[in-house]
Amino acid sequence: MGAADDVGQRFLPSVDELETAMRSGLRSLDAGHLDDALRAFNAALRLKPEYDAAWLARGHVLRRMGDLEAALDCFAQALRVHRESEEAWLGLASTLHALGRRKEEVEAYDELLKLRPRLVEAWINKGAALHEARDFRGALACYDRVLALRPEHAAAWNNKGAALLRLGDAAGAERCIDEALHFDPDFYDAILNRLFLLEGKGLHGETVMWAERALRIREAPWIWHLKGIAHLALLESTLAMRSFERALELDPGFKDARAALRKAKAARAKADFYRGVYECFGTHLAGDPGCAECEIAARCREVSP
Amino acid sequence: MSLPRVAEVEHADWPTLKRMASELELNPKGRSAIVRMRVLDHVRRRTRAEPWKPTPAHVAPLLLRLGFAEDAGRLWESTIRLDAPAPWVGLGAALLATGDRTEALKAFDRAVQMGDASAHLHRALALLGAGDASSAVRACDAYLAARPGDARGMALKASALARGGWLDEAVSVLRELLESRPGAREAWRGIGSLLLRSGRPDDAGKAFREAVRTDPKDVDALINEGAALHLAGRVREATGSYREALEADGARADALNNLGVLYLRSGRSKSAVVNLERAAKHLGTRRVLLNLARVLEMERRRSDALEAYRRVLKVQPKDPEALAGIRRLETAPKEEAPVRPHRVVRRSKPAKRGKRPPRKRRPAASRSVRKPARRASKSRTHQRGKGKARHRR
Repeated sequence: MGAADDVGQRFLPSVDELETAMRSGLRSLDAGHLDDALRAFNAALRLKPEYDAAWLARGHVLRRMGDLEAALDCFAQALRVHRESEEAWLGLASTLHALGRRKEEVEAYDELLKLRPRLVEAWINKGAALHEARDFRGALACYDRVLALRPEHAAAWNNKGAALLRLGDAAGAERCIDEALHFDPDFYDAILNRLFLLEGKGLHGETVMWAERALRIREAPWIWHLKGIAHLALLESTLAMRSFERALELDPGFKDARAALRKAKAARAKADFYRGVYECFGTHLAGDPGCAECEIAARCREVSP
Repeated sequence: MSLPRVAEVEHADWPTLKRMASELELNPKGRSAIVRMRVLDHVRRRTRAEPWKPTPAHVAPLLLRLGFAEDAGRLWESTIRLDAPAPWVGLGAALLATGDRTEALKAFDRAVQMGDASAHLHRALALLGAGDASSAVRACDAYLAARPGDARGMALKASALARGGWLDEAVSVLRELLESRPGAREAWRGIGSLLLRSGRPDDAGKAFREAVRTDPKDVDALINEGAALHLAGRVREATGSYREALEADGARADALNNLGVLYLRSGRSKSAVVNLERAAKHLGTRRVLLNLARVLEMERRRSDALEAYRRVLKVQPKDPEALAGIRRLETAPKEEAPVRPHRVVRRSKPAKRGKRPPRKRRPAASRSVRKPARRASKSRTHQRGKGKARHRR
């Protein structure tokens, strides 16, 4: 391209051309063609260097390409053009999060919250950043702010529960996680937090049930491992073996699972109980009508805490 | 089996819970809380609402309402199928909104051919819009042949007949409608209006009275009844109707205006002014303001009348009646204003400093006329705590 062409593109931008470039970039971004998207947004920025939407889009592309520093520059440029852009602040903060710059991430959310004090996403993300920075009390304050705005916000309840768990308030954490699961019974993170709580308390029957519930939503080797350990504690060696085998299928390098599998095989020679249709095995509750009719109540009572 | 409600599952006792689980083909064995959770999960998953997405058939009528008739037409065209008349009706309505009446009529005809009787009504409306009342009546007849006695069809037929000037026929259609639906006060109101138009105010008054009998709070019918009686020369009864309407809704400018005109005709111009002023306050339309201006002119309140005429010009610039009124008032000789004595303002001499004479107190008699005396007498009675406050005048 000659110098005259360059000047023409730089100083006489055509709106049509700019819009075409933006549209093409967004289409490529949606289709996952990141190089094409980057080329289109670069072209748009050559036509109009002070275009916050183009800087934002370029930032998103670069972040997806893994060039976080360049993405950070793009979000900063977008904010220089339009300081009140909510999307640019969120992009900047999330890039800082990916770079592990927690303090600056929190500052970015603070700036955004000065502009939009009722933005729930910013409060939740700030809380999560503080949580990761081990400022659990600060995180709790953020979650309380969210719950004051939106008392039905399941994620805020779950995060509050997690923060309380870290602060050693297991009862408070349990209440919060219950609330989260009340508002969203299939909330994966809350199910996992409940799983940790139950495992910590040594409630193996409940651990198996909630692990199964989590695994119905998404499989993970460590959940299978946790389930296997609980089965072993309930003297269900075959079920424990199956759980460890599945964990190893998903992650062949999972050493704890391999060791636990050996242990389960050894345990099968001594004891192996079959629960049948009783999903709730190990959670016996005296006086419950279901437990009164149970065919394996005697064995269940033995393993229930 | 129909799904139980979440609240039912949450509050079900153990036998009911087991029955629910069995009926839903779920495992009914285990601790009650676990069985309950199992049933609840099942119910929640089954009753989870699918996210609603608007189809072109949903979007098109909205676009038409919002004024994008061409876009609505294009969307309706995209939904046309061999076995569905509704898109043709929609397309016809969109075409009608774009002003293409001929094509709209063709679209309605297509819907009629596909067996949609309601398309006849759309056709009738389109024809009425074009001023073809007789074809509109025929379209209504075609609709009523498919759905005899349908109120919408009969009302539209009466409207088409009235538009074509066949007032008696329109009245008879509405009477026919009343036979099947005696509570249809709109039909009585329609009959009343048609009778008024055909110069039979007495009969019109009776029809409006029927409408009022059906719904005593029907203010419109009361006002129309007043107008019919007014035209029939039954001034006292007309006044009664207007007053009844105003009792139900005191802010009805049309009733206030009509009552004002009625008072004027019966020579009670002051009452007329009061009512017309109230009417103009609530609704400053040209007619109300002109009536007010005329009454004020008759009352020789020249400046008020001029102001009213000027307000008419604000509503409708160059209104001939208002301009004529202003010209008339401006050219008419002014009435002589009462002679008032000129006040002579005298400057008092500046008082000398230092030796200022003591100010004289006013005599008690002159003070008693002033307002504070009233307060004093009040406070005295309050102190006594009995009897009415006596005011010195």
